[in-house]
Amino acid sequence: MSSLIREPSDVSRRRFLQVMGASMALASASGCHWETEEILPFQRRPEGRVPGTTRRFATSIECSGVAASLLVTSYDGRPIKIEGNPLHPLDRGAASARSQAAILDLYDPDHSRGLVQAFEGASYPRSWKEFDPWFAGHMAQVRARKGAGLRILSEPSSSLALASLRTRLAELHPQARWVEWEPCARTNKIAGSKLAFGRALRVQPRIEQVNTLVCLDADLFGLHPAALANARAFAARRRPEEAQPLRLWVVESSLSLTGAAADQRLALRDEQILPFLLALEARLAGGKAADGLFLESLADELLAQRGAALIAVGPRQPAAVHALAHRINANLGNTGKTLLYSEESDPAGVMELGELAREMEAGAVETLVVLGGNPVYDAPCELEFRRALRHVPLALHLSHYRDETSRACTWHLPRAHALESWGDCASWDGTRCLQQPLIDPIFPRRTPLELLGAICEAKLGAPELVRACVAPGASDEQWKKILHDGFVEGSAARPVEAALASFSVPAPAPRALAKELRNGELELVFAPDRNLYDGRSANNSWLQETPDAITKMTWGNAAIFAAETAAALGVEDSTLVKLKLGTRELEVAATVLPGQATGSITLHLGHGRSAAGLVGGLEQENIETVGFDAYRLRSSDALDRAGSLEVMPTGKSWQLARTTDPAVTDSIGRKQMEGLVEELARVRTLADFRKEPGSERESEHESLWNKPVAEGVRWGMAIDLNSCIGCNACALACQAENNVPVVGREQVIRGREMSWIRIDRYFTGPERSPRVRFQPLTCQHCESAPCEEVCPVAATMHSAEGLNDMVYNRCIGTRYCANNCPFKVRRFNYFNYHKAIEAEGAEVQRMLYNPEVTIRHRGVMEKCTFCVQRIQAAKIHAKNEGRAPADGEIVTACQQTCPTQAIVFGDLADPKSRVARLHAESRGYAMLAELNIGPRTTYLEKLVNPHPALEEHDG
Amino acid sequence: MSEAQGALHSLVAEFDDVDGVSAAARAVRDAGYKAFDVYSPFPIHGIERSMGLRATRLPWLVLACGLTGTVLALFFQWWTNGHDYAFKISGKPLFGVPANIPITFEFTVLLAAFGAFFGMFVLNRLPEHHNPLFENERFRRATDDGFFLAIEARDAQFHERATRELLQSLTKHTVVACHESGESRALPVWVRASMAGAGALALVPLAAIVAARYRDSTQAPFHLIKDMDSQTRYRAQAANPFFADGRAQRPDVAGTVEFDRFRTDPALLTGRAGEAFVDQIPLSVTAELMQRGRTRFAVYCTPCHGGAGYGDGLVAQRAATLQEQAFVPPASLHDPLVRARPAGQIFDTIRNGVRSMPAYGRQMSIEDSWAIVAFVRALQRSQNASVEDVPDAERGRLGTR
Amino acid sequence: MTASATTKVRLDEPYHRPLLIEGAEDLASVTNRVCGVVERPKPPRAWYIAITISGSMTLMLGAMVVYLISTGVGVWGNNAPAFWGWDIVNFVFWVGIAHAGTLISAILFLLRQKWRTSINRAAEAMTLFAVCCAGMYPAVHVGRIWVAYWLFPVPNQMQMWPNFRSPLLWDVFAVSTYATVSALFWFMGLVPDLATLRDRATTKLKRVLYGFFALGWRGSARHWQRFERAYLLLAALATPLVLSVHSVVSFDFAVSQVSGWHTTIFPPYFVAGAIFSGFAMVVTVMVPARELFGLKELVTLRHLENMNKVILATGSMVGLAYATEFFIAWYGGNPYERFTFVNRAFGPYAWAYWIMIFCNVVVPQFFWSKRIRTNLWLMVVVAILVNVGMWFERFVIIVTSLARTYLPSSWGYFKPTWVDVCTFAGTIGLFFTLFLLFCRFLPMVAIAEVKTVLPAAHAHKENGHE
Repeated sequence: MSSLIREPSDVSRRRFLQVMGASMALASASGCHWETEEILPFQRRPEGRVPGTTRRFATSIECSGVAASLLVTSYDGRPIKIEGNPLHPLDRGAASARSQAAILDLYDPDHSRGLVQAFEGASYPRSWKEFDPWFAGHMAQVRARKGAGLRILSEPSSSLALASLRTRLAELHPQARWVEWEPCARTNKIAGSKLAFGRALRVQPRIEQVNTLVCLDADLFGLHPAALANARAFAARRRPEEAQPLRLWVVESSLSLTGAAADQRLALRDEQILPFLLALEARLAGGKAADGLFLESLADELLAQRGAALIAVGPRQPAAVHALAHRINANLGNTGKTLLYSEESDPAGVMELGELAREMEAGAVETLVVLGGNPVYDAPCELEFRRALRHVPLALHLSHYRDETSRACTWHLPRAHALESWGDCASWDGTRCLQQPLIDPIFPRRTPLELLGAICEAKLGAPELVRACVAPGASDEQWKKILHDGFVEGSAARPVEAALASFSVPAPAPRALAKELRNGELELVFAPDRNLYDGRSANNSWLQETPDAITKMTWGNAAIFAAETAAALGVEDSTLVKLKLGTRELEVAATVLPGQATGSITLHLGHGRSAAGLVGGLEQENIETVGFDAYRLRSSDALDRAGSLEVMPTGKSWQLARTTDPAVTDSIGRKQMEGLVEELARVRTLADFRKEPGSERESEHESLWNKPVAEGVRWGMAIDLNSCIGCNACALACQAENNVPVVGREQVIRGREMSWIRIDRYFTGPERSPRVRFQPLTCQHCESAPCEEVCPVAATMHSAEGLNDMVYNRCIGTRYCANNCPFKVRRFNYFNYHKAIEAEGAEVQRMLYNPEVTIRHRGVMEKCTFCVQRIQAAKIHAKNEGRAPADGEIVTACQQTCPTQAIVFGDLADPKSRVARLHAESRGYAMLAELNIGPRTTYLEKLVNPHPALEEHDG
Repeated sequence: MSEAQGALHSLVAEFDDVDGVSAAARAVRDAGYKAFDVYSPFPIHGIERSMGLRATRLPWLVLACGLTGTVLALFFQWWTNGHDYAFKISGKPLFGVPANIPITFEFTVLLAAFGAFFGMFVLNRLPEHHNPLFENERFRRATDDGFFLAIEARDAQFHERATRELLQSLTKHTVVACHESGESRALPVWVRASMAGAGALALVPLAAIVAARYRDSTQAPFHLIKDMDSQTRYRAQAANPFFADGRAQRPDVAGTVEFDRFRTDPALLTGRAGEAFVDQIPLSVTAELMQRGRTRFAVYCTPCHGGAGYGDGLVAQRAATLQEQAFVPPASLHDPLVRARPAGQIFDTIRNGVRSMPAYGRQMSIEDSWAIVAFVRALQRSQNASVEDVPDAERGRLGTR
Repeated sequence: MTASATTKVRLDEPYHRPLLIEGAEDLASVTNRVCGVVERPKPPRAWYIAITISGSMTLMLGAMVVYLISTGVGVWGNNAPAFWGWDIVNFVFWVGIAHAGTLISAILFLLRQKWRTSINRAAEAMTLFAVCCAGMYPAVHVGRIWVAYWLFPVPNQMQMWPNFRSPLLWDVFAVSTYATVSALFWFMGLVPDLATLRDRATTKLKRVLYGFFALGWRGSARHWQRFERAYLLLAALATPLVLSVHSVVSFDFAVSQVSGWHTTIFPPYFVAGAIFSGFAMVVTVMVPARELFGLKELVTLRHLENMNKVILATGSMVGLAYATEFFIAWYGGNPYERFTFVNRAFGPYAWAYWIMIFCNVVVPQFFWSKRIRTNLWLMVVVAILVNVGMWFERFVIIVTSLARTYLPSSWGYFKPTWVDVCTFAGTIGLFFTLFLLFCRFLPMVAIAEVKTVLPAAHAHKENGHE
C-alpha cells in the first residue's frame, strides 16, 4: 500500500517525454487480450473452509503493555480486516483506528523481510540459518560469563510468557540486566499512586457510575488504554433519557477528544493544573471561595455529587497531581464507586534507559538485545542513544521495520507481525488476552518470545509456552475455548483496597505568565500523536492520511498555538517557526487552533521519522521525512513538558495538508460557516431539549413531480451526533473494508483525498473555549439524488432497495455528479491511485485488498456504498436459511467498529427496526432537507449539559 | 469556343447587365421556350418571374424533415429511458416531456437543416462537375460579372436558326452554340481505379469482423484498455506467484481456533463419550432431520451401499462384474454386526472412514453426518421389522391376517 | 421582395450614412478584390509570423492532450470541491465566441441587415473554429476519454443508453447540432464563391480542388432560386438554434443544485454574454484582417461601428444580468445563494469578480462615444478586454460557485496547473491557425452576396416587377 502514495506526487513532477513514452508502453505492455484467471483449489479442503466465504479469528495486539482484543476477518486464509472482539468485556467489538490500521503493516513492503547485519559501515542481508548457529555459540560464551555485559532492552509488556522467559533468563544469566523503555509510559501515574498509596496501582474508571466527570489533561476517550470502553460508557450516560446525565468537565492545555466532548472546558497551561487542583482541594476542604467561577461551580458540583464524581488525571501530569486526585477521590467517597484500583505492574528492579546509556558509553555492555521499540528515535535526546550504541560490539534489534535503531545496531532481526504471532497480553482491566496467528509468517520473521526463547534455551515453542503460562493445566477443550474467545474468561484483575498514605504537595512557585506572554518562558507540551502514537505507526499510510480528529491535519504535525499566543509572538498559521529549548533548536510548522491554552504550545510526537520507510520517510533513499521530530527537543528532565520555550518566527511559509480549514480564512467565510453549522451539525443544551424535545425540521417543499412510492426494503442510516466523539475508528474501518486508496500529501493539499466517510469538525463559540462538533458524513443515498439526474450515462442510479449505486465500469468521469452533490461525499480518481500495487512485485501488498470490493481505477467516481457487499453477503446468508435478513444483521463497517455505537444501519421500511425508530426520534433531522433531496441518513442532535452558572456566564 | 464535335447542347447568349438579361428572359419566355436558363454571378431579383418559374417545393421538404426529427427524437427518448433501459433516476418518473424538450428541439433543427441543405442540392441536380456550358471560355464570367441566357436543344420549340435569330436579336454579343463535349464524361481511369481500391480496402475491416464473428478462437477476446476489468485483488482460490505453492489462499495455522464455529460437546463432534461410542443421536431426531438424512444418504452412501443399504450399490455391482480382487465389498448395513454398532460408531465411520471407505468428514457438516446416522437407523429398522411393528390400523393393508 | 427591400434601403439612407461598400466598386472589382487575396502568390510576411506562432501553440495543445490522456485528469488543477475548473470554463468561453458567426449570418439576414454581407463569411468561419476549440474540452475533460463515445446513443450489446435527463447530454446534442448546422450554412454560402475561384483558377490543381467543392455551380437562375430559399430556411432554423445552444449550455448550471448556478436567469444571460463575446472576437479578428488583406472598402468602418454598437448593447445587458443576479440572491433570501454572491464579490475570488465587472460592464461603456467606436486601435483594445472579461465571467460562475457550496467542511480553493494554462493557450493557437488558413485559401468575404448590394445588382428600370 505504502509505496502507492508516491505515485501521484511524482506525476506532477514527471517530465513530459517520459509520460509520452509511458503511455505508449502502457498501451503495448498491457497486451490486447482479456486476462485469463486461474483457479487453484486445495487438493484437500480444510474442514469448514468454503471458498469465497470469510472466517474470523479472535486474537489481540499489544501497545504500551496494554492489549486490544481483536476479531480478524480472514478470506481464503488471508487476514483482510481487523475488528474488535465482541466478546471482550472492555472492547465489545470496537477497535481503535490504530488497531485496525495494523492490518496494513502486515503487507507493507517496508515491513522487514529479512535479517541485516551491519559490518564496518556496510550492511549485508543474512538468513536465520546463518544467524542461529552463530548466535547460539555466542550466547554460550555469554552464559559462561553468567551473562555479564548482556542487556535486554524491551518495551514494557504484559505478556506472561515473556515474563516467564525473563525469570528463566535471570537464572541462566544472573549478571544480565533487563531494561525497559517506552516513550509514552505510565511512569507518572505509577509514581502518583506510590505517593498516595505507597504502591503501584492502576485506576479502573467506572464511568457508568459517574455523574460528574472531571478530566485534568486526561484524554479518557482518546489515548487512554481503555478509551473504547470509556467512550462507550460515556455515550451511554449521555443519552437524553438518562435521569441524571453525566456532566463532563475538562481542564487541559490543548484540545483532546475528551476536551472536544466536554460540557465545561477550561483551557489551562499544563503546569497550571497542579495549582488548579490544589486550589480545588482547598475549596473542597471548605476553604474560602477560590478564584474563578469555573472552579467555584466545579467544587460545588463535586460536593453535591459525592460518591458519584470522578477526577481523572492524564499521564503527562506529575506524580503530585495524580496523588492529589487520588486523595480528592477518596475524600469525596468516589473510590470504590466511580473508580476501582487494581494492581499495576511495578517496574521496580528494571533498569532505567539512562543508566543503560551510561553503561554503553562506558563500554560495559557487550551484548545488547533490543526487543522492539525504537530508542534511537524516541529516547530522550540528551542520552545520544545512537552514539552510545557505537560502543556496543554486538547490538541486535528485533523490530517490524528496519528503523533508526536497526540501522544503528549491528544486527537487524525481522519481527513477526501480531497477526503472525503466538503470544499473550493483558488488557487494561487485566483480562488475559490470547494472540493466535492468522497466517504463517509471510517472510521469515520471529516474535520476541522466539528470540528470547533462543537466548535462554527455552524447551517449549511459542504456542506451547503461551499455553503453559496462560492456562496451565487447562484441558484441550478449555484451551480451545480460550483461543476461540481470544481471552481467558473472568481473568480481569481483582479490585484492591487502597489505603491512603498521608502526603503533602507543595504549591509550585506561580509564574505570572498567563497575562503577558514572555517568550523564553513559554510551555512546550509533548503529546503522543492521535494517529501515529509515539511514531511506531509512522509508516502506516492509512494513519498518515487519516486527518487528525481535531486539527484535521494529514501527513505531518505542527506546533499548536493559541490565537493570542500566535499574535503575541508574531507567529502565523502555516509558517515555520523555530522552537528553542536551552541549546536545542527545532524548526517546525506552526498552526493556530481554538481551545489551546495561552502560552502553551503543543507538539505531537511520532513524526519526522528518518528511517520509517517509503511512507514515513527514509533518508537513505531520499524520501523526505513527514512532519517534524519532536523527540529532538525531548529530554529526560522534561519528557512531558518544558517550561522555558523560546519561539522564533522564521517567516517561511509551510503547506499544511489539512482536509478542511485552510479554505476558510476570510471573515465572510467564517461568518457563513458559523451560521450554517447551527443548521448542519446541531447542538442544543439538554435543558432546552427537555423543555421542547422536537428539533425543528425543514418542511420538505412540494415536489414538482409525483415521487414513486418505494416498496420493499429501504436501507437507511442514523447517526447520533450525541454519541460521536470523532475518534476516526469508522474512517479506518471504511478504508480497510472498501479498498479506499491513499493519495499522498500533495494530493491531499490539492483536496483530492478519497475517504468515503469523513468526520466534519466545526468549532463554534469563543476562541478560548470553543464548542467542538463532529459530524461523520457518508453518502446520504438521497431518495431523489441530485447526482443521478445529471449523469449523462446513467452511471449512478437508484437500486431497487433505494441505494444510490455507483456503476464504476459505466462511469466516464464527467464529475458532474460530484458537482451536484450538496454533501460533497463523492470522490474522483484523478489518477490511478492503485498503480503501485498493480505493478510487478507487489503481490504481497495485494493480499490486503478486500476481494469483495472492486478496485477503482483512474477516471471514475466513487463513494460510500452503505457497504453493499456486506448487505449482499447478509442477504445471501439469510436466503440460504430461507428467511429475510433480521434487523441488525446487516452491519456496515463504520457501524461495526464505532465504540459509542453512534451509527445505526437498517431497513427504514420496517417500522420496528432500530434505524426506523431513530429516524422517528425527536432529535432527528436530515441535512439540507429543504433541497427536497430526501437524504436516507438522519442525524440526531447533540445534547450538551453545561453547568447553568457557567452557561449564562459564557453566553 | 469549343469546335463542334458532339451534339448541339444549347445556344448561349451573353449580356452585360441585369436589365439586358431580364428583358431577354421575358422575350424568350414569351416566345414559349421552356428549357432555357439564365446564368448570373448573383441571384437576380425578379428573374424567376421574368422566366416564369414556379416556386420551389423546398420548404415542404424541410417541414417534413423537421417533423420527422421531432417524432423520432421524442420516441427514441421515451423508448430508451422510459422503456428499454428504464432506471430509477433521482426518484423521477421514467418519462417526462420537459426533460426531453431540448434534445427534441435540437434534433428537429438538425434534420430540418439537412433537408434544406441536401434538398437544395438534390433539387438542383448538384453536384454536377461537368456541364457542356463549361466548355465555353467566356461562360466563366457567369461567376464573375457576366450574364448569360442559354436555350437548350432539347426544348420542343428549339430550331437552331430561328432560336439563334431570336437570341441574336436580344444581345449585342454573338450568340454561340454549345456542344456536348466529345470526350467521355466518365472520370479518368486512375481516379476510378483508386476509388475502387479505396472501396475494397474499406470492406476489409468489415470482412474481418464478419470472419471473426463466425470463427471459433481459443484466444481470449480482444481488450485494449483494461481499466477495471483486470482486478488485482485476489478472488477466491486465485493464484499468487509469490508463494511457493502459487496459491493466494493460505492454509490454516496449526492449533488456531476459528471464531463462532466452535463447539465443545464431544458426543456431537466425535460420537464418543470419553472412549466409548454414544448410542444416542445427540441431536433431536425430527422429520426434517430424517429427510435431510435420506437425501444425504442418497448422495454419499448409495453408490456403494445401495439404496436399501445391502451393500449392492452400483460401484459394488460393477466391481463384482469385473471381479475386482482388490475391491473390498461394502458392508451391508443390515448385517447383525453393523446393526449392533452404536450410533456413535456409525457416525465415526462416516466422519473418518473405515477400511477402504474414505472419510467424509471434510465434505459434510456434523449435522448432516448425524442425519445420515438417523436415516441408517431407520433403514435398519425397516428391513428387520416384524408384523408387530406395524400399527394395527395399517395391518389390513399388509394383506396378512 | 428583397429587391424592393434593397431599393428601400438605398432610398431611406441617402447620403448622411456611408454606403455599404465604399469606393467605386463594380462586379468585377469586387471579385478581383476578394479573390485577389486568395490568388496572390505570397501572403504578407505578417501572415507567416502569425501562423508560425499559432501553429506552434497548436502543437503544444496536442502535446498537452497526450499528456492529459496518458496521465489523468489530475494533471489539471481540478480538485474537490471544484470538480470542474478551466476545462469547462474554456468550453463555455469558446462556445460563447462561436455565437457571433451564425448570429450575424442568420439573425441579421432575417432582419434584412444588409451590412452583414461583408463580414458574415469570416464570422461564420470563426464560429466553426471556435466550436472546434470548444468541442475539444468536453471530449478530453472526462476521466475515461476512451469511452467518451458513450455520451452518444450508440447501440451496444449491453443495451445501455445514455440518460436523456442529464443537461450534459442536452449539451452534447446542442453543441454537435450547432456545429453541424453552422458548417452546412457556411459551406452553402461558400459554394458560389468557390465556383468563382474555380473559374478564375490559373493552375490545374486549383481548378480541380475548387471545382470539386464548387459542386459544378454555374449560377443558374433555377439554382439561385432554390439556393436563396434554402439559405432563408437555414437562417430561419439557425436563429432559434443559436439562441438554444447557449441556453442549453447554461442548463448545465441552471438545472443543477449548486447555489450560484441554480438560477433561471441563466439562458438569456448566457446568450447575451455569448453574443457580446462573439462580436468582440469578430472585431478583434476582422480589424487586423482587413488591414492585412486590403479589404477596407468591403469591410468598412460602418460595419465595425455597427458591431461595436452591438457590443455596447449586449455588454449593458450582461451588466444588467449581473445586477439582477445579485438582487435576486438578496431578495430570494436563500442563505446559501446569498452567501455565494457575497463570496464572489468579497471572498477569496474577489479579484476575478472585479476583473469581470471592469471588463464586461465598465469597458464597453466607452462605446457611447463615437470617437472610440470608430477608432480602430481603441475598439480592438476594448474588444480584447471584453474577451478577457467574458473568460473571467465563466471562471467566476463555475469556480467560485463550486469552491464554496453547501457544507463549509468541504470548501476549497481552485488553483490551475501549468497544464491548464498551456491547454488553453493551445486552443487559442488552434483557433488562429484555422482562421489564418481560412484567410489564405478561402474567400474571406461572401462575393456573391456583396454583389447583390452593389448598385449594379439592381434593375434600373423598374420593369423587374410586373
